[in-house]
Amino acid sequence: MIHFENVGLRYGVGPEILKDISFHIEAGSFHFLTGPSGTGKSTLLQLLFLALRPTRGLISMFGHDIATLSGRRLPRLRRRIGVVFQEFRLLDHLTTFDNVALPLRIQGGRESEYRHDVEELLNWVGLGERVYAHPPLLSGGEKQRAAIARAVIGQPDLLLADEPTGNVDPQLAERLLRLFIELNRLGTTVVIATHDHSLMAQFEDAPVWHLNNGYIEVLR
Amino acid sequence: MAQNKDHIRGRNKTGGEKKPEQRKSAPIMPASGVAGRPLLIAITIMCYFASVTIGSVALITNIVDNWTSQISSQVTVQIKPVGTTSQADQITAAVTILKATKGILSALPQTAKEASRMLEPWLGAGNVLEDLPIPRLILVRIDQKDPPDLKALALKLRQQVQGAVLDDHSQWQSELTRTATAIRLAAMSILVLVILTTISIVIFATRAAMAGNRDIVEVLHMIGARQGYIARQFQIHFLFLGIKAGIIGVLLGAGTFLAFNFTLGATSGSDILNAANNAFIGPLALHPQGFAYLLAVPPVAAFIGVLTSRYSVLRFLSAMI
Ligand SMILES: Nc1ncnc2c1ncn2[C@@H]1O[C@H](COP(=O)(O)OP(=O)(O)OP(=O)(O)O)[C@@H](O)[C@H]1O
Ligand SMILES: [Mg+2]
Repeated sequence: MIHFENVGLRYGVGPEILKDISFHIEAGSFHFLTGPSGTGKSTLLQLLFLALRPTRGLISMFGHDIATLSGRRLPRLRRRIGVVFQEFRLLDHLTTFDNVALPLRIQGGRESEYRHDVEELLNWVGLGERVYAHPPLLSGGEKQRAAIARAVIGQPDLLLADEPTGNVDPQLAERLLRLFIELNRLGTTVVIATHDHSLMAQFEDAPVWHLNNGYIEVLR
Repeated sequence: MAQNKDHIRGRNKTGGEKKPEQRKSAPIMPASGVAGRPLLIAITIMCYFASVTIGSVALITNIVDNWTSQISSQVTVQIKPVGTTSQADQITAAVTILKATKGILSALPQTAKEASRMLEPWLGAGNVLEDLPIPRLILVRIDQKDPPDLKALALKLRQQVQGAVLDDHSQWQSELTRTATAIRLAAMSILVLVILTTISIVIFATRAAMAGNRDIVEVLHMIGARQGYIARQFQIHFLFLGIKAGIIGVLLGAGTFLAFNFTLGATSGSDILNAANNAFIGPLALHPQGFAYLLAVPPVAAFIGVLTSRYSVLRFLSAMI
């Protein structure tokens, strides 16, 4: 489903952050991505959700070589990918409900059609009481859960989560992991970047990739 | 299971909040961040300029039309004092020919007194006419429904009456038409400038709005919104802005012409001026049709706003991958 071959990336004229990354991610798999801070995990995820293009190497996603993909086709590809940003990126002027519903809304969905699904998901992540609150009034953990809900509401084929449990207590982290595992069982391919070793310990079936100095090392 | 309990708890809690049916989703792009008051004022002023320009053209066109139709219903025959025949005989001969021509309502020769009075401002009072060889005029009114062949008439007069020249005001008329055309061209260029200015204002405003809402644009982009969809979130605000500014601008413009009509129009001023106005220039007031032209301003403003903002958003987005 996702194929990286000798991928390298540098920002502008800076040092090469990713040096020679090659891997293959099967459809329906579940991966953890770990490594020291500042090593390029978020950068690698950005490559995966098509926010960055590699400086060299080949990336193929869903059977498309992204180097030759025209801008017009990108939105359709992005809709198959759910992203939990490390810094959440919720829209402050929209309610939690509207933030989470956004991916459905931009695809032309009607509120009457998706209202039930969105509310159910918000309840599930424990935001049932904060449906009409705006992000600036949410706690860090609440924002994180809203960001996760937004990433999964469209039942994406690929879920990319950048530190999705960084701001929540261990119990909630476990609960969110279960959500990811549940999605994975329903067919979603999942890649989670995290520092949280206890989280990785909870799902031993998933391989762990360690990113360091621009190279990937398979730990498990 | 815990999650089932949560389900029930969540439902009950949401039930206590505002009823879902009563609230509507907020616009994805907040209006305040796109089309604020300063922008509304700027576009309104542009719409006002456009309205005043359009109204002025309508007014001038109306005056010129009035004028030219008045003139073409009247021609003059000039009798130059030449040769041996007396001027009085010349005039009689010319009037006879004119009266015999079909399509001519009347032929009124100027008296000698009138002729000298006309020249008074230039030559001063006195028995000028007796001392100087001065041309005399015959005012001829034409039946506009059945006008005579003026070229043939001119030829006939020239051949049969010495020193008779038919002046059908065509030179004066073409002069007037030229002036009117020049004024219209000037108005056109003002309109073009107003439109170009409006376009630049909208481009500027769209760019500022996109910079100010960059986070929103990026998130929309990342979750797979099409460029056209993102552009529409801006366009909608420029649509309303254009309509609003257009309506206010037109109302102000119409108000200006109404005030103008009221102070300078046919209903005021001295009687003599009025009479002269109505006879020659026509009422110096914007006619209802002129006001109707102004109605084009709001839709055009909205159209410019929508198209321009769309264009600048798409250009900006195509730089993102
Ligand atoms: N837009 C950018 N322009 C220039 N340099 C950048 C940019 N984004 C990230 N970097 C640099 O790239 C390197 C990798 O950053 P990245 O955010 O991918 O690390 P990370 O592994 O996600 O770290 P963390 O675990 O702290 O989130 C860092 O040195 C960072 O300074
Ligand atoms: Mg990171």
